[in-house]
Amino acid sequence: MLSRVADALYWMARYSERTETNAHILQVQLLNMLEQSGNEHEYLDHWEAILDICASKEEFMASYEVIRVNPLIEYLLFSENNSNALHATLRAIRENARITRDSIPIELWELHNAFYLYMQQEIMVRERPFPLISLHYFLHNVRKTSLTVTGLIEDSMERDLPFYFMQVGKWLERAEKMIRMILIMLEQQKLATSNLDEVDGTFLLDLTKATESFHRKYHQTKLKYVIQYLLHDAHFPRSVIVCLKKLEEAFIHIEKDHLTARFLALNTPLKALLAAINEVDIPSSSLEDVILLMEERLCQCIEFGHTFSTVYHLYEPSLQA
Amino acid sequence: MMKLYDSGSYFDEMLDGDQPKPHYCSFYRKLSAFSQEQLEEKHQQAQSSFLRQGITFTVYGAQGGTERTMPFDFVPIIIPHEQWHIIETGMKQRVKALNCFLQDVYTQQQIVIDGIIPRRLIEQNPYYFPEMLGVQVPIDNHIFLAGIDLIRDEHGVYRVLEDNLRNPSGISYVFQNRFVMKEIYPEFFSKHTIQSLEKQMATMKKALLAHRPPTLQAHVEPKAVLLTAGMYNSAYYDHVFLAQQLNIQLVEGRDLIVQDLKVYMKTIYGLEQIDIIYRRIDDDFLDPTVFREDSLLGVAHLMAAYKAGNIAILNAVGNGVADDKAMYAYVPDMIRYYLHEEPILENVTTYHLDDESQRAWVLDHLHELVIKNVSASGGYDMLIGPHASAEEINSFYEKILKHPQQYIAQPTIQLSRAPAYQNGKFYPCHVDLRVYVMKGDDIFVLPGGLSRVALKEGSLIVNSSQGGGAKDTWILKEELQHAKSSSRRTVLDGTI
Repeated sequence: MLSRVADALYWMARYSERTETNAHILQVQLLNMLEQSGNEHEYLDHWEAILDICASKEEFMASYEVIRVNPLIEYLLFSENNSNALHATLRAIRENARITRDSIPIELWELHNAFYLYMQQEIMVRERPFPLISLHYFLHNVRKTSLTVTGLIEDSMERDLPFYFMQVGKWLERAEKMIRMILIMLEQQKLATSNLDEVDGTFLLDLTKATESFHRKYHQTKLKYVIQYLLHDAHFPRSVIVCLKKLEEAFIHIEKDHLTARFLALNTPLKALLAAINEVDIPSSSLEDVILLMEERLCQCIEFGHTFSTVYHLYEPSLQA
Repeated sequence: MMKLYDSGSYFDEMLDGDQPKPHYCSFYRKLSAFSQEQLEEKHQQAQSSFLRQGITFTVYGAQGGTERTMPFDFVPIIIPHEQWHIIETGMKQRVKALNCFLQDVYTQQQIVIDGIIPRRLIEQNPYYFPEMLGVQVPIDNHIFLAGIDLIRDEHGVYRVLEDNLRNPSGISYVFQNRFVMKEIYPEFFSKHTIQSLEKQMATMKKALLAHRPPTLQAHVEPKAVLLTAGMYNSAYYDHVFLAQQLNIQLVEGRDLIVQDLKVYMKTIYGLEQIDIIYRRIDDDFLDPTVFREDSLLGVAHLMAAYKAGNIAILNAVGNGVADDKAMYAYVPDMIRYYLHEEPILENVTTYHLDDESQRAWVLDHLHELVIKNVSASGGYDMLIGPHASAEEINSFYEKILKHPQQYIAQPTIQLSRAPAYQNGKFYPCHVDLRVYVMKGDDIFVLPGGLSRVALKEGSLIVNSSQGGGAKDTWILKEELQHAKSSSRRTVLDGTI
């Protein structure tokens, strides 16, 4: 497979995952917002966290002086200045799908293309700000399309290189995003308290789509238990451990021979990351310690992404012998 | 029975007066069974099918290009078997002669020595590449895929309008038009037996792989790629379609690299050598070390690898010398010279404007002639005398005086017409037909081709960049012409 095509498949999957997660997060917050409007403090805290998870606060503050809801929604969904706005990630998905058209199922390209056209022709032309109900409808459509895409890939894609490169993109994006969400929640607490025991984790559960499954197993929603769950649960398909195991699986399929330098170059840091995640013991650590641990894991994840891109020559031409 | 219109003094593909021609009768009967609403609905479905599949081309403009679909018109061009047989034979003859010419131009230039073609026409041609002199191209074939444009005059005579021997585009539309036609207008196919397109791609692949580079070892299967300019190119869909159908990698220039005069593609496992490049970028952009330095689309040192015999490039480099509008007039002579045959398909009469007496006559008759720039395409820099303003005629008068060699003149031909259905009504539109000819060890003509239609009422320009659309093209099979429906054949509507 061409490196350029592998790169496009990898990024298409990453952007798909990012789009779906961000759309979910925005939906959660738009609902929460309805009840919160009286409680100014929490309301802004939540929006700030979301801004940091879905984009970058520094970048936003560079163009806007204060955080106000309508400009923020516009920024997260449609702004040309935000490379992670839903509009931008959806466009990136479509462009990458177009590049890889001959490696993916035709229906997959058609789905991405049709959704993008719908967005251009029906959403982008509307008057702003959107009424809440149309925002919900749009986000709902984004997520519905994502689910269809996931089903289509699972159901119809041959288990071959293109499939596994997309898997790498998906699971790496998911692991990284999960760690980032945990980290941002923790950092927000740092200002209010130094005792993790006092903090509630309901909001994080909502953002990570873990509410239902968590409640089936646990009753207490203390943040520290929630984080423990999001890192370690062996069955929750968004936990960091599950993501890393899926990555391992993908590499086993990409590299048939498990003694090659390529396989080892990837497997070694992946194993190290898995071990490091397993070792994290939230309940007996202080807030500062946990933040530090999460920062390290996030760096490891990002570093792993670079290693992956280097091993498969996904970066622009370095002359290879 | 519905009345479409009266064909009048024009040659109409479907109608004689207001009645359908014999080979259009059953189509016409089916058509009459549809209501306006049904036709309108199907029309919408067809257009959105193209959009959904992303079968679009890019129109360059102020905003860096917008995507459009090529409008599709469902009334097919139906060609009876006998007529197609003549076209097919004529096409093979023409492409064979053109290839002989290219082989000759880049070796002995015997045709110049024998005084058939003026040397000037070759040496002053911007698409003639002396770099190609003596380069041994695989199986002596310069033309892997040709797109020859045919028109019909007011008497229904087919004439060649233009040869495209560089990168003829649009072949994917032939397949997509058929696909959409079958999907949305299945009713029309019953009672017809037409030549299928199903197996054509296998033939094309065989022709492609026949171009083994001279240094490739005998038993090794060659590895082929399709070189595209990328997803913003106006013909990108064509490239994707062909790569998929031929089952070869779709690569961009930056995916390739030349080392030690061999060409490699950059894969996730490192470099992999390739043997055949079906390129869909122009000569000028192929190799920045030889042609345009600013080309970002090509591959540095590709020409060196080509000359060393390590890579086949299809179509061959330098084909433009044979397909420009000035050389066009000499193709019948090429056929006589190389094949010792009379041309089967006629050209359109062409006047050379560097000839003083021809020029004088042409300048006097600009208002009734078509003037074309010999190196332009796509309907640009062209004067259609009878439709032109005095100002336009004057401007061409000046241009011709200044650069007589740059222009040719042709009589205005009353192009044939066929019904098109747009905006809820049928009206006559001018049509032409691009026929695709593939050449490997043998020559093969794709049955049918791309029927292009000038959808703007009264317009003569069929190019998709200027508002043209496309139609499906049906070649009737022989047996239908002679036999009534046989008892063994099941036709599509379920009757036997």
